[in-house]
Amino acid sequence: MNTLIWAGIRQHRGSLIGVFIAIFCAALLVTGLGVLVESGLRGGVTAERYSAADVVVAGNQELTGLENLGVSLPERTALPADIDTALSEIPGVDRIVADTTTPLSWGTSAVEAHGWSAAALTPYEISNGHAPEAKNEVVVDAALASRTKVGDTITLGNGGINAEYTVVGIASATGSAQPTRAQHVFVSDATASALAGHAGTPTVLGVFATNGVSAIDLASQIRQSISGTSTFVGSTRGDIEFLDSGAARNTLVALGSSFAGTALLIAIFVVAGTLSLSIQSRRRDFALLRAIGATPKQIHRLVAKEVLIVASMAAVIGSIPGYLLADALRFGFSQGGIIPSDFALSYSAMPAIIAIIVVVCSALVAAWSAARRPARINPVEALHEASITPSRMSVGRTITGLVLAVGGLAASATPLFLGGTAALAGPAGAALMLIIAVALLGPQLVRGAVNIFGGPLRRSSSPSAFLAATNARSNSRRLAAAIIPLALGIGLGLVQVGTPSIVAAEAATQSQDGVIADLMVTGGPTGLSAEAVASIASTAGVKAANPVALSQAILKYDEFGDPAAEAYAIQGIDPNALASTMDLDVAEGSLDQLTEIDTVALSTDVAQTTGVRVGDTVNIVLGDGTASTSRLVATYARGLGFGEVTVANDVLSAHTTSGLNAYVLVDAEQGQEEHVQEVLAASGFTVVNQGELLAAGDTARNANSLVNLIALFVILGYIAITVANTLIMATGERRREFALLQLVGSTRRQVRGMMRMESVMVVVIAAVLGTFVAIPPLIGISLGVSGQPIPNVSPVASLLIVGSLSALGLLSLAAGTRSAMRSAPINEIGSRE
Amino acid sequence: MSIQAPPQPASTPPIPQTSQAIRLDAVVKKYGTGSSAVMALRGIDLTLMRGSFTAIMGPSGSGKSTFLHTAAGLDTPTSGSVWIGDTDISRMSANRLSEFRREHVGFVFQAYNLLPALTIEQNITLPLMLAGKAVDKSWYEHLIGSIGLGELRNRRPAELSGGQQQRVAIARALIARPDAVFADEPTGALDSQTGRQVLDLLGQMTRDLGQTVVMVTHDPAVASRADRVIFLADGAFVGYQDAASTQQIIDRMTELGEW
Repeated sequence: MNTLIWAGIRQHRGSLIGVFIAIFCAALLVTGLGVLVESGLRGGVTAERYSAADVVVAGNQELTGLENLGVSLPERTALPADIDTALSEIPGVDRIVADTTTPLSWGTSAVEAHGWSAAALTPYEISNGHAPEAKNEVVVDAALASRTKVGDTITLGNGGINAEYTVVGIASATGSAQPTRAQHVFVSDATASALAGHAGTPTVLGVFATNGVSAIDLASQIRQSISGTSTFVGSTRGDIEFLDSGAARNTLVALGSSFAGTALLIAIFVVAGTLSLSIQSRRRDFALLRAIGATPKQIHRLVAKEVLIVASMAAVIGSIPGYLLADALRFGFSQGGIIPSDFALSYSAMPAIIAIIVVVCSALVAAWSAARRPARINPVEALHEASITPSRMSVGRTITGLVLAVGGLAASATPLFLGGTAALAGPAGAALMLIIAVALLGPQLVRGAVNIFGGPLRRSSSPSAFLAATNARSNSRRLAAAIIPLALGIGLGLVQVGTPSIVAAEAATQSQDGVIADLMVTGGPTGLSAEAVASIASTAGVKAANPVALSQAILKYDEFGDPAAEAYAIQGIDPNALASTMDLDVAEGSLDQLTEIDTVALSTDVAQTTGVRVGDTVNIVLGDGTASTSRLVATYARGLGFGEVTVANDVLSAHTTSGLNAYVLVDAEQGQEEHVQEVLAASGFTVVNQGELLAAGDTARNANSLVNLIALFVILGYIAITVANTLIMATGERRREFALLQLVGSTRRQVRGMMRMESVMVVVIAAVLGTFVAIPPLIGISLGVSGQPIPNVSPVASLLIVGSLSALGLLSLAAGTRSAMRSAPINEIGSRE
Repeated sequence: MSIQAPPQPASTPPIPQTSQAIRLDAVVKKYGTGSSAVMALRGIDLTLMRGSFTAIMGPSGSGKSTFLHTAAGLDTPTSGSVWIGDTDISRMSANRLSEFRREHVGFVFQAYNLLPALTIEQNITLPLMLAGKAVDKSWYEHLIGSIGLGELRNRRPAELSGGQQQRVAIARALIARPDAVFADEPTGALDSQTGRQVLDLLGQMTRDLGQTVVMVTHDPAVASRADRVIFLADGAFVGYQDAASTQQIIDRMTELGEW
């Protein structure tokens, strides 16, 4: 049996190489994504400032008790009130150092200010000058030293309010690792407390263990003794120093796994496609084997073993560059701001092992399905069969295809009946269902399309056109093998690019329509404090100033009877200044009633998703973990442009790390706009007028769509490779046909002409099918997001996708034809199969 | 030329031999159902003894191929029974039939007999490999010697001429010491000179090794190399001739009508 398998592999390297490439790429992709997922679980950012502390203690940064695991809170959570006393009672605790971190602006850049006592947690020591003691003394770190010198006076802004400080010293990091993620300044402890929001209450404590006590033991001791705390030791200290690291972990896990799912699905399709092509080309071998006594089971085993060998080699080799892909993706994601640029991936053999197992298993599933045909061959029929492939399709396949097609169309229409974000899941899934349906019904669809397209060609007087058309009609299954992967790529690409574009366009429209203020003041590199807002509001000519704070909130609700939780953008606004600055397009209730934490407003979409109406209660968790049961006082339409959740400004500011506002919307007295703009700019604020306003969530959305684009690039790249692979494979099988055509008098040019015709047919049908797959879900998404039936999709991007994949199809077919005609026709015909 | 043999009854008397290799009892093969049904075989009775070399002749559409497939266990009869050796194969499942075939039946087809990926030696021993059986070395050496290709055993089919390939196919058909070898136009793809050599080899091996061969052909010259020619028309046997000459067969066929 093994002889047979190895001989088969040697003999059919040509067609198996296609299978090899398909599996190689699948393993590469899955390994790369696996590395991202594993890094999400184990990688991270190394601690810089907290590197001297044995144990770092903070509040709970993970929201627990939820169905979905590990929702990390975006703002620093409060420590238990009596933490100092409680800690000092724990044996093994030598010393406790509190840290407050306040973002300050120094010119256009941001620095972090800490009290000098917190320097004990850090690798910093005074290398020049002395520690800060007086109220206005400051020590800058070595990285900042180039901008100033000891004795200079510098201006630091806190939330838009500037103050002058005297540089009294330079602090340098001892040890080899220099902090690079942030620049630090140290002030006296009293000043640090005064600068920090929330009355200077520290949110992070560094604990030093007494000699001989291990940090890990101490950490678990602390967690057990004091509820509501989390502890960080060793490499995890980076997670609490940099909250974005923890968020990045979750992002990587979520992104990596969802994206790996899509990749695996495509991989199974592609591997099954290439395998069935390979098996198709060896139909007669299998028929002979059946005739001389091979049982269907033996044929299945033969194919499975062959695939096992090819797939294992391909998967093992493919998993290696997977690590490079992971690094490339990390780079892409960090450029997009989704993860910190210094987020270290965790490289272990695990992702490769899992990828190899998963990919090989998928290949075996594909092998089993591809072997069903040769195993079922009736030996009698097969031996007399001409080389034309019968295009009978199983009834089961047709029915499955039709059911999926109907299901996909129905799912596309869910936004018509169901409101809210939940409805958007319908069209997204619909695209997938339609794509699978097209793959299953491919040969039938192609036959239909060929009948429509082929008519005029068959009557053409050009021999190339005539041959192409008749070929296409008699062998629609082979044509489908070329068309389907192209159509899948086009359909998937259009949906992937179209969805974020629809959302972004709607968000931009909403924020453009919703901001009715004359001016917008932004807080430079950090944000604007309540004091700064007060000073803006009291500027002459300002009628109303509406401070807007931004964060994330988590809503808990019942979804179809199951508890669910979802994070949404939340904004804190001043309801008294709202009327003349921001129009959220209120649907029900009134935003005036937003006062304390027990009142909240939601966008109509989210209200619908969470199933609440005005007057109902909403379970909301703010960014710092503060949970509240609030009354819904209003719903509004422009959630995408401003944030799906709205609360009073002081409520939100009290629960963010910095307590600062992102921007202030200013309504000026009639005719005073320019004057106010000049005055505010002169006081050091950054002021933009209405035309320059950006949608609130734009940065996040841009990052998101960049991630989508990266994902799309990788998946389209994968599809492109496999499409080229499949097309070259399918064309390569036609050596004898091309040879025969030449022997009966066609010129090489005519054969190429025929293939050109055929490839144009392939590409046009693929583009049409792919577009049809994409249209229903895009219309559904557009209806759900903006209520408009015509999706706001960038025509350039769409054309680019269709165009690039079409060009790729044409090139691959031409390359396949060329290589199939390389040897002299007489040798091809003479060669015995 | 006069017709030498009178018309024979549908069932043919056995060639005197010791034991039966193949027996068909009232074999009927019907394709389709109802009014569109086609009777390909209308009740065939036949017994072939070990060591016989029989040609089946008939005009196209007479049921030659159906007969071969049914007798060889590639297809099952609608009614009646087929015995190969001492086994009734007509009620076997497809899987069981596959396993039975590789140990008890040999095949030589018109073309595409060999797997291009395997060497000559591997092709010959393929049925044993599929059955998971050890190769009888001396039997294999005897066979490859008999077909005169001992030197080429490690070549691949593509390096052999058409006649050589058919000889390999004959050796392959005999490797499992089957109860019967079925040949479907074994020389159809060869020139007449090469065809004759292949047929001689087939006849000689039948006699020397005591093998039973059933060959379907439409070529009288080919049929004349067999010990006995059985004529088939419209799904039934219509006569036989022993040691017939080419001309006798032509005359008989002409009598049967278009062919």
